[in-house]
Amino acid sequence: MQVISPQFLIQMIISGVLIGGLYATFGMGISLIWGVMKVCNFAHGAMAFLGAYFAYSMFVAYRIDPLISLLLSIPLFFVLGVFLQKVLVEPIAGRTSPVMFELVTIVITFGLALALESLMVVYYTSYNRTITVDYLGTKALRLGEFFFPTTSIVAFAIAIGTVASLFIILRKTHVGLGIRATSQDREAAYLVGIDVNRISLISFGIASVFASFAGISMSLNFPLSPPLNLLWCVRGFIVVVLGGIGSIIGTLVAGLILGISECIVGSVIPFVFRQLVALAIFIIILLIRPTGLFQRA
Amino acid sequence: MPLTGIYSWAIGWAKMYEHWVDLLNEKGGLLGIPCRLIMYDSGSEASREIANNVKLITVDKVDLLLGGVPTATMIPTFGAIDKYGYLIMNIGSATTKGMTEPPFENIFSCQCQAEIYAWATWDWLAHLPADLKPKKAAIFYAEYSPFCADNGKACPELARSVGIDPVYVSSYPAGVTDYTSEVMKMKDSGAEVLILCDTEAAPAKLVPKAAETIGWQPTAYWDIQYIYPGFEDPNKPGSLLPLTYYTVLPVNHWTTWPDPPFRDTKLWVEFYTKLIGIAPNMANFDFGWPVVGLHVLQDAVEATGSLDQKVLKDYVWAHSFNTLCGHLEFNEYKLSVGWTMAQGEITGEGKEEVTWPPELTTAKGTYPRPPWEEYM
Repeated sequence: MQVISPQFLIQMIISGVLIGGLYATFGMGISLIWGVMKVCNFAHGAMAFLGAYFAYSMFVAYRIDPLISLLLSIPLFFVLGVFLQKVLVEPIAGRTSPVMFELVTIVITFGLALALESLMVVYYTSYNRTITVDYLGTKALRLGEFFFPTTSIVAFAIAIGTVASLFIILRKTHVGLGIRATSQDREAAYLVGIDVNRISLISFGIASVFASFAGISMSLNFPLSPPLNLLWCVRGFIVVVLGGIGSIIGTLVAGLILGISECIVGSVIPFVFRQLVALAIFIIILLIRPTGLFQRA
Repeated sequence: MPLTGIYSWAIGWAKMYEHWVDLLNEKGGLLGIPCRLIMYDSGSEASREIANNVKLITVDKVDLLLGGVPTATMIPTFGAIDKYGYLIMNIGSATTKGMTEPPFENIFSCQCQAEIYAWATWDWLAHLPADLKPKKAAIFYAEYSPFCADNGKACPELARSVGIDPVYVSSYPAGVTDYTSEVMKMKDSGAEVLILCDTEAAPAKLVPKAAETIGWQPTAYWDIQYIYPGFEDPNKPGSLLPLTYYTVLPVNHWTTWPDPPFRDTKLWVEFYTKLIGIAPNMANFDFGWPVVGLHVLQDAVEATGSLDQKVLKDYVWAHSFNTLCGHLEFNEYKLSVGWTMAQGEITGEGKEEVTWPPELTTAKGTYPRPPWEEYM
C-alpha cells in the first residue's frame, strides 16, 4: 500500500465523484425500466451509444454542440423507446410467468444490443471517434491544488439534471404517480384504473431518453467505439443493483460510491487491481445488504 | 477475424485478406485453382475464435488456414488447433512466451516480438543532443494484453540500456475510466517522457487528458496503440487529429524503400491508401503485417506446388522470404527473426514519416513534442 497525501486523496475524491455521476446517469434508465416493468434492458448501453453517435454526427455535420444534441435527442429517443417497448416487450408481456418474462427480456434486449452494435459498426466502423469540445474556455478548472476537467463537470451536471428530472417526473406529475404505482404493484395499479401498458410505454421512452443522455455525457470524455456498449451497460447494472432497483437516490449514491472507490483504491494499491477491489466492495455491500443500499422508491 | 467487438479494428486486415484472394484469382488462382476465402467473425472472443477455426478445419475442410489477430485471442486458439496439423502463418501473436512456452508444432509467428517493439524509440531518445536527452521515463502498459504486457515489461531494461531511468513503471487493467491518480504519480516521479503500451483507444485519449488536466507535459510520448488510423478529426471526417505528433508507429522496413523489392508493393499501397485513407510511407503494422503471412504461404505453395501441410511447413522453416515487410526467416521456435525496428511518426497532415534510424529517415523526429492543446 502506498501512503498518499491529503491533497492527493481529495483529488481522487473529486475524480471519483465526477466519473461516478456518469455511472449514475447510465443507471437511471435501467433502474426505471427494471423497477417499473421488470425488464433487464441489456440494450441500454447500445442505446446510449446511439445517443453518443447522434451527438457525434450532429457535431461533425453541423458543428452542433453535444449539449444541444442532448435536447434534440429527447423526442427522438422517446419515440425510439416507445417503439422498442411496443415491438419487443409488449408482445411477450402477460404471456409468460413473471420469472420467464424477466429471462426472456434479458435475451431479447441482449440480442437487440448486438444488433444495434453491428449496425453502428457498419455505419460508423469501429475506428474511434471523438468529440473535442471545450467548455468555460478551458480544458480544466483549477481551484487551489485541485483540478476539475470541464467536460467531466458538464457530464456530472447532466447526471444531476437527469436525477432531478426523474425525481420531478415521479413526484410531481400524474404520469409519475402512475409509474410509481405500477412499479409497486402492477396488478393493483391496473385494478385502480391505471393504464399500465401506457405507463410501460412512457417509462421505456423516458429510459431511452436517459440512455441518450448517458451516451452523450460519455462522448464528452471518452472515445466512441460500438463494441464498448456492453461494458458501460454492465456498469449501469452494477450501480442499479448496488443502489437498490428502482431507487433514484440509490442509483446516484451507488454511482458515486463506485467512482470514488475506483479512484481511491487504485491510488493506494497497485493500479492493476483497481477494478478488482472496487467490484469487491460492491460484492461486500451486497452481501451485507442484498436489496441494495436504499429501499425502492 | 474479430469483425466485431473490441478488436474489430481488424476489419481493415480482413479486407487485406479479401484483396489478396482477389489478386490471386486475377492471375488464375493458386496452383491454377481459383480461391475462395471463408471468414468467420470471432467477436473478439477467444472461445469463438477457437470454434471458428475448428469449423474451418473439420467442416469447411479448408486447404489453407490463415492466421488471425490479436495476440489475446490467437494464443489460446493455437493451443486448441495446433494438433490438426495445419500450417498457420500467424500475424497476431507477438509474445515470445505465448509462442514458446510450449512451442507450437505448426504455427509460425510473422510479427516482430513485443519485447523489441519500442526499441527504435528508446534508441532515438538516446541519440538526442545531450542537453535535450531525457533522463527519466514513465512506462505504463496494459496488463490484460499479452502483447502490451510483454512490451511494457521489456521497456525498463531498454530504457536503462540507453541511459534513461525508468522512474515510474506500472500496469493497468481493462475498463479504466480515470487515470488521474497514475498520471499524478508520473508527474511526481519526475518523468520527462511517457511510454504507453496499449492497443485500445481509451487509454490513448484518457491518459493524455489526465496529464493535461493536472498540467503535466512530458517532452515525448510514445504510444504503441497506433496500429490503425486512430482518432478521426470531427472537423474533417476521414482525417486524423493533430494528436498524431504524439503517437509513434513502430515500423519495420526494408532498406530500399521507397522501392522495395517485393513484387506487388505498388498494388498493395494503392489498395491500402484507398481503404484507410492515408498513404503508407513504410511497411507499418497496419499495412504490412496482415499481408506478410499471406505472402510467405503463397510463396511456399508456389515453390513446392503442394497443399500438403507438412511439405509447406518444412519449406517455410527451411527458407527465407522476401515480403512486404522485408526479409523474413524463422528460428527454431518458429519466430520470425532479423527485424530491425524503425520509428515512425504521423504528421499533422496524416502523412507517415520514418524518423529513426538515420539511414532510413524521411523526416526529423519531433522533440520536444507539441503541447497537449495541439494534441487534444
